[in-house]
Amino acid sequence: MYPAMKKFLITILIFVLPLIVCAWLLDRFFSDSLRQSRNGEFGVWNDIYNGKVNDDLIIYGGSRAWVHFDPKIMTDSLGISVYNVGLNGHNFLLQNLRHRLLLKYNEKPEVIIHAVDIMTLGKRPDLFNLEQFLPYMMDDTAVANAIAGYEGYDYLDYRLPLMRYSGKWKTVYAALKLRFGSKNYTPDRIKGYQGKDMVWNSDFEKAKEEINEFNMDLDPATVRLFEKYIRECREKNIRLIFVSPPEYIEGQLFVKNYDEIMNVFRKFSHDYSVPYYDYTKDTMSYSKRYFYNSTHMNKLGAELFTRKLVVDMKKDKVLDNL
Amino acid sequence: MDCLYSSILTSSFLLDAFAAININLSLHTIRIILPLGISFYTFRTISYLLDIDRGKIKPCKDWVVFFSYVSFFPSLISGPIDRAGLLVPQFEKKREFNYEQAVDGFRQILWGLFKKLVVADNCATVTNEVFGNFEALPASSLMLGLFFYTIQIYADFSGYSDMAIGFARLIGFNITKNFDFPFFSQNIAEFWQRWHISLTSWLTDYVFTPLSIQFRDLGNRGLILAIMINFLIIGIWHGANWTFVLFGLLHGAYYIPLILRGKIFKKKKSLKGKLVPSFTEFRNMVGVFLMAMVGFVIFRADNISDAFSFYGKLVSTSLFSLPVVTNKSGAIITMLFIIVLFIVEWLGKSNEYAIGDIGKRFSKPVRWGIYYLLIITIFFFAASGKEFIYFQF
Repeated sequence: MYPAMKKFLITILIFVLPLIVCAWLLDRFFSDSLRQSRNGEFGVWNDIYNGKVNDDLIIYGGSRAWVHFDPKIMTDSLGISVYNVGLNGHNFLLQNLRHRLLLKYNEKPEVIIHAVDIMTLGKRPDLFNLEQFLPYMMDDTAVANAIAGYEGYDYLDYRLPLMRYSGKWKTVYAALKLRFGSKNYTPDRIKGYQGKDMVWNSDFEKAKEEINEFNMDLDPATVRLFEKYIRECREKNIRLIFVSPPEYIEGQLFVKNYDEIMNVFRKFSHDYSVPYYDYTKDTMSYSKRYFYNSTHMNKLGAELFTRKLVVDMKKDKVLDNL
Repeated sequence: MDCLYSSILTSSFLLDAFAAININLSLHTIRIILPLGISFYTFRTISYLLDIDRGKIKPCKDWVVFFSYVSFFPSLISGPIDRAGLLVPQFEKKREFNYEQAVDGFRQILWGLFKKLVVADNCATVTNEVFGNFEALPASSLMLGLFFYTIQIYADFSGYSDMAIGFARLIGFNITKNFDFPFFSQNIAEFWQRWHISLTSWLTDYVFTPLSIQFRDLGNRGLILAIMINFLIIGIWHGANWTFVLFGLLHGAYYIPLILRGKIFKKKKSLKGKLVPSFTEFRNMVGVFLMAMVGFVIFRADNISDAFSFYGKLVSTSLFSLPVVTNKSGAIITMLFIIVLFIVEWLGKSNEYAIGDIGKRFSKPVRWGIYYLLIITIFFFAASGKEFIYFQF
């Protein structure tokens, strides 16, 4: 080998070595910092991993669980502890991951209220809010396997330290703030719930002009997985309840096969004797006052809805003998 | 040019022509047949033939050397467009590994990566939002988007060129410089001498110069005609779309005042080595930048009607409102990187590329510190998933 090339290769090696060491150290540092977060989805994942979700009743679902079910109201009325693990933006495929991790690191809940909607049994190709998996995806194969099928992370992101943090300066900044900033902050989610103090925005009016009616797709694999989950809950003696929270009525009209999809839950409810509370045609669904967009209720709506649900469940005695 | 070929080849005209002789091609087939970097093959081979014809170079007798020149991979996709006179002799002679050259190549690649991944791709996040939704945004957002687009297209293309040149240097080749700090130009003529140099010098040699000789009896009118034809070709090189034709003609028109005032060939005093520009120099630079910005509206727009709607929206009192962008912190960070880019480029404008002299100027620990800082910045602030703009041409 030419001496100049040898010198060049050795220099490159010496130059790269500190980068590799730093990459590994920084990976640990950022991941550990994010594992201390009490905010957003990190807060819920961390509570699950740290075995802090040992409540009697757990709320499952997507964003329509996260912003609609107030655990405090439920605890005050029902006298049982409640935690809301609603996973913003994701269908059952990843809700199921959360369910499995919850069972692995925490005590089995007595009751699961699963917020079901037209998105629950669908499948999205992109890994929405992919930063939330950063601290766990390299250490936990369950997480890695669950998210591998989505567009978001590449092959090397799961294998090389720090790679997955590339371009994610906002998350890195959050990790630094968690480590070096004040620890006395109020988490944005209380027992997983986040009431949205917002009023109706005008996006829907614009959407009405621009968007035509459409069909939502059911993902057959997700439907099968959901059925398996129902059976497992039954086997584990976990009481399962389906709830479809109110949804602004005009928004429902956009989805041509709305009833067809909701009938899947009705059928599961019937086949497996799962109580099903459907509020999609409730009077609340007709008033914009309770919503900040067509699918999400604001804090006012969420609190009223939670109270309604509690009254209805009490009336039906579905939570008796806990 | 790839874009031009693509749009011509995929037009019904060509498909119909093939169909007429019983060859039915699908769009898919056309796209496979169409080789990667076809415009660069074409320009290299044309200049090769013309240079032989003019007696500038001798025909290449080694077909391996010839095809290596035509398809030289670092500059295959987006240039620079190298001439045979520069590249062929480098293939013919025995190359030896040169430590300094390889380090310099790496350094230029690093700078190119910073420009592309950190500056251009972060600008793209804002520009895509603004140009995709310009009718609903205030003029201040449009101005911000246009400013970012102007920076984006420069950082994207010059970043790619830096990487291509740097990679070529790493393997022992010196290829044509493609950008020479164009935003520090004093007029539009100087701008085009510093922007996509390999294309403009190619066209100057093989189009503008022969045309201006042909039209020399017409005086200034002949010169204007030659310039307009030259820029028409530059416009069409970017694609078979009226927007590119208009873009070329607009830039050609920018030359008219210079020609009429007899300033087109007047060499401006170089700013190289100057730390603080005079007021006039600064004003000229801003003027050139604004002219480039105006042109890039047409360049970016899907059609001429959109371009004029964009101009119309720009002229509004909302120009003085606060810009609306979804990702405010992202836009602020991007602006900071643009400032860093301009400062580093200004300080390094005497070099081949902005950080070309740090090997001589700083001690090893400082140098390495700068490299590590650049790598960390690229790593954490790179915006992903944005293709090079010039890959389409």
